[in-house]
Amino acid sequence: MRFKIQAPEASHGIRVIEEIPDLALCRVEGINGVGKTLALHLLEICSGGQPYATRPHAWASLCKYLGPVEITIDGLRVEREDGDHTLRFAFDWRARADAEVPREITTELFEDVSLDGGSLADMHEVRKLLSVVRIAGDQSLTDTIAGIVAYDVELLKSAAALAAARSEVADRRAEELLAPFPEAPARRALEVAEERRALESARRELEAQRAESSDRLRALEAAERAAVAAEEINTNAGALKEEIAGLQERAAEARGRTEEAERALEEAREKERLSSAAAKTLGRAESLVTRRLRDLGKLEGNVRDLAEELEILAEEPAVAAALEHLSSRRAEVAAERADANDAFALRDLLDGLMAALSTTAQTGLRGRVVARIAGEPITAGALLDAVQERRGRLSAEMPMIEELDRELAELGEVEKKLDELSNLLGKAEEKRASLSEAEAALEKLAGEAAKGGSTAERAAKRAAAQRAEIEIGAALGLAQRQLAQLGGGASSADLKAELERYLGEAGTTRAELAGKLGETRRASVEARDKLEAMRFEEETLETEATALGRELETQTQALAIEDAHARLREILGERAPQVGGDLEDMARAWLGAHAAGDRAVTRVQQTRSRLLALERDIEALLEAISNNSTPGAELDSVRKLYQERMLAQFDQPELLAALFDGGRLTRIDLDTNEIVWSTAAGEPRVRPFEAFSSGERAFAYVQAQLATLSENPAANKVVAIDEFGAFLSADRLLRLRAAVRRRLDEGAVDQAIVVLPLLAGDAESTGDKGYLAGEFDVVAAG
Amino acid sequence: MNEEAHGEEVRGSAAMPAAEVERLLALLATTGEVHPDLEKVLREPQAGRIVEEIMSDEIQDPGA
Repeated sequence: MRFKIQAPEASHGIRVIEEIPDLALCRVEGINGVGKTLALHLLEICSGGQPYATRPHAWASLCKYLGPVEITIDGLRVEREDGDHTLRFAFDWRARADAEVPREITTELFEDVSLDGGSLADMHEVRKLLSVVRIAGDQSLTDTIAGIVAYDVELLKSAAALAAARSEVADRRAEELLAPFPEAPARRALEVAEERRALESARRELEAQRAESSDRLRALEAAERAAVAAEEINTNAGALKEEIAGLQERAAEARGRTEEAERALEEAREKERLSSAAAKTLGRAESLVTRRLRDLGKLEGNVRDLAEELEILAEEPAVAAALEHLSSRRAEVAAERADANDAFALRDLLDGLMAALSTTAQTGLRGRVVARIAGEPITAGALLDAVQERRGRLSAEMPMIEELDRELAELGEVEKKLDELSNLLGKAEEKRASLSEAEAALEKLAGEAAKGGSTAERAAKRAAAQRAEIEIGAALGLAQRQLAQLGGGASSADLKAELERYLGEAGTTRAELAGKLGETRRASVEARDKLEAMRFEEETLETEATALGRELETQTQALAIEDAHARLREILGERAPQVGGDLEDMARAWLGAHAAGDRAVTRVQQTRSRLLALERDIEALLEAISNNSTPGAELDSVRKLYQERMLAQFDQPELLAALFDGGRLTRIDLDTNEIVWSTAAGEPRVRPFEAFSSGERAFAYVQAQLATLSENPAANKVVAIDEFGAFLSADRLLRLRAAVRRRLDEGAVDQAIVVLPLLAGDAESTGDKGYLAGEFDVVAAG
Repeated sequence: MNEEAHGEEVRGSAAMPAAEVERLLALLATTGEVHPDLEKVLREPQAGRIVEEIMSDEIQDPGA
């Protein structure tokens, strides 16, 4: 195969050799920097390899300065024994200078990939045609091991970049799926439901506390009433009882005197034989006094009852004062009633004005001046507004007529009763006067009778005794009623028992009663206010829950029926929110979907973290290997992993024969940087990496790499042996040539390119090109 | 973004050849870092499908 490479705009010291001749065993010699290795790298890329995978800076520099390139490969074999085909590659990578090193070589990297002028769309087709493998010999054993580890580091970095890119896509995809269904309503719906339950629970608890507090308050108030009544009894009962006792004593005395007078009268009647006329006259006088006494007693009873009903003293001055007060109040109420009548009249006036002005405003005269007040023009519209405003206030201010009428009626009733009481008092006065007259007449008759006997005198004494007895009886009755009404009619003992019972119910003592009562009343008011606030909050939450329910139902219906959400329906399956379901179930289902989306995105993100963690460890191991230092204990797992992999990598017959006495590798120790093996005779050997000479390693390495080429399935296999010349002596070079020739003869390789440094003195023979290419001849090379 | 577009998203410079993916998974297997999610991320060409599959798992068995 003949390789032609054209890079006419290469700059900044980048050069590439232009041609490699069609020689099965080809030697290329050239000065440093002429582009031998670059040519091999470009051919590796064209056959699908990526030699820059671990060298991003070199890749960036190549892209930036290489410029447009055309590579043609002639003499390709497509079918067996068919060798007349041409591959062509064209590319310009300057636009890729800032991009990552492509891990996978695809046809997108090229402007043209064609076979005999026909475009190839897939690099798989190229790989089937051509394989270019470069074997480099300028690495130490440590470099070789480090290179293997470094490849994995780059692999992990690429994988982490891939994971990051897919993580971003995953994030966007999850967002696309769920963005039409915001999470906030579902979250808030559950919060509202929880708040409502908590509020209801708190309200019930508070209501129970309030009910308990109300019972306690009732007990405390009953206790207070009992205490007040008991105190009233303590304060007034003693004096009343003393008064009653005195009156009872006086009543008994009066009764005694009456009885004494009656006996004396009877005795006198028996002793004296009065004339029938005198007796009749005296009897009528006595009857008159007795009747008037009875009438007076009855009248005074009526007076007391009416005075008690009116809650005033049964005296004319008290009645006069009450009538005066009543008259004053009635005048006030009557004045208010008159004002009310005026207010109705004013309201009618305002209604009339409004009707008139409204009509005027509708006809377009709203802005016309209808009056001037203190020189200021008043428009129809302004007047209408002012009248309407006054009409509105008037309605709010209008007194309650019915209330005033009711009070006037009540005042009339009281006045009637006061008038009646006044009348009764007047009658009582008259009765007393007529009684005094009757008594005077009786006394006169008695005086006259005394001349004729003592019966009339004694009758007068009896009447006086009876009158005294009636007056004392009236006073006693009044005092007894007052005593009976003390404490609401209950006895002091009953009130004390009642007080103790209510104190017990309220759980307090007499000393603490006032404080507890105030405290309980305040607590009751606070509880009422809190309950009111809770009811308001419950209504607010219920309104919010209803709105959230509608929103979630709309979301759920959209999920159920819209084509745009078919994929999300499929993902959610039977866990999808259900249309018409319970609000909280629906909210939980939506939150579950969002949580699953978040966790899925997190899991994709975590894949990158896993890769980066391993990459950090392997990179640390690489640094230790490169610095010939001992890796830390934390790197034991990756160190042992690579020791095993190195052992497998180096366990090849050519390497064992060349470097390890044809024996068996036991261990490659990356902790001590030593290789342990046993010879064919079974003798143990240990050697540090650095103790292997370059020549030994280069020769052995190329042998090992050549051995692997036969596995390559490409129709045209090219191997390039680079950077070995400086390490190989003439005898090893001969052995290398023989090994390569053998591979060519075996068909494991179709073309071998051995790249060697230009020998001293040959520089001139290269001309402008700076390199020579020809048959690999060891004598010529040596 | 449709499925095809998701697929395009992960091709190009970030994509890895299948052989390298297998090599990486083998490396991860020896270090015990292989995880079903990681395998999905490395193997599945459509990143949108990766998150959909994991989301479906999470819906059926939250936090598994």
